[in-house]
Amino acid sequence: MATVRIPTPLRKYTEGKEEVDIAGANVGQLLDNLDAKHGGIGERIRDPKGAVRRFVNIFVGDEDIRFLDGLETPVKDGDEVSIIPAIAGGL
Amino acid sequence: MSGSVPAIRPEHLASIYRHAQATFPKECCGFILGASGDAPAQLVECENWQDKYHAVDPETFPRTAERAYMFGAKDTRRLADSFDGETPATIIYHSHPRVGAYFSEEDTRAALSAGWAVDYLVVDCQEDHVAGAVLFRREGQAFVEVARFPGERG
Ligand SMILES: [Zn+2]
Repeated sequence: MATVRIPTPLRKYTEGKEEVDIAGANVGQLLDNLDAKHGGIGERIRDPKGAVRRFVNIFVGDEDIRFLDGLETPVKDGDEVSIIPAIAGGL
Repeated sequence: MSGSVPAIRPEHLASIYRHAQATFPKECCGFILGASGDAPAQLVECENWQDKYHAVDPETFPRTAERAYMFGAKDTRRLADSFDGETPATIIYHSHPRVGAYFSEEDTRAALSAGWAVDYLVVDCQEDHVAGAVLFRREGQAFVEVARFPGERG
């Protein structure tokens, strides 16, 4: 089980919970299991093709999975995974 | 967000302007924890990670840091965690090199998607000075100007 940290803008999907424990050998599986438990959150995180949306960051510990193995990034027992809307913008 | 327009302490604004100038021609970014007018408020200058995201996935992130900003992991987590603490973030800032302080379509897309309960400060950074800054607040699906701050000659 990994602990998934849920920031304030996404807590409407987790009945207000700040964190939830979710199983999954990698981030992709973890997201599948998260969505199965908390309907609607999956769509918020991934597009219809299954890719992580541009303005969503998923961190395992302090590293964005885009700098690791993406959805294949392995998740170990006790890992902390954070799913956080990107703080971003431009011209 | 609703309620009164937050004050920005002069030393916070000066630091943000210095940050914008030091980062030019790239965008700078950061945030203010707590209300800037209050004693415990803290300015957090962030590193713009946009170039790193562009390097690893140019298809998803076609822009470089000259035209976009993105917080890195530590700063993103710190801002997210602030909403569970005593001094939640109140303002996220970034600079616009050369083009003026407006809330762009990209800024709007990102901010609407995220849903952070903050105001957004955009700094008009020119090559040799900061021309000013504008504070924007969400109103429905748009962001409107709620305060304007003068610039300074560099
Ligand atoms: Zn912008």
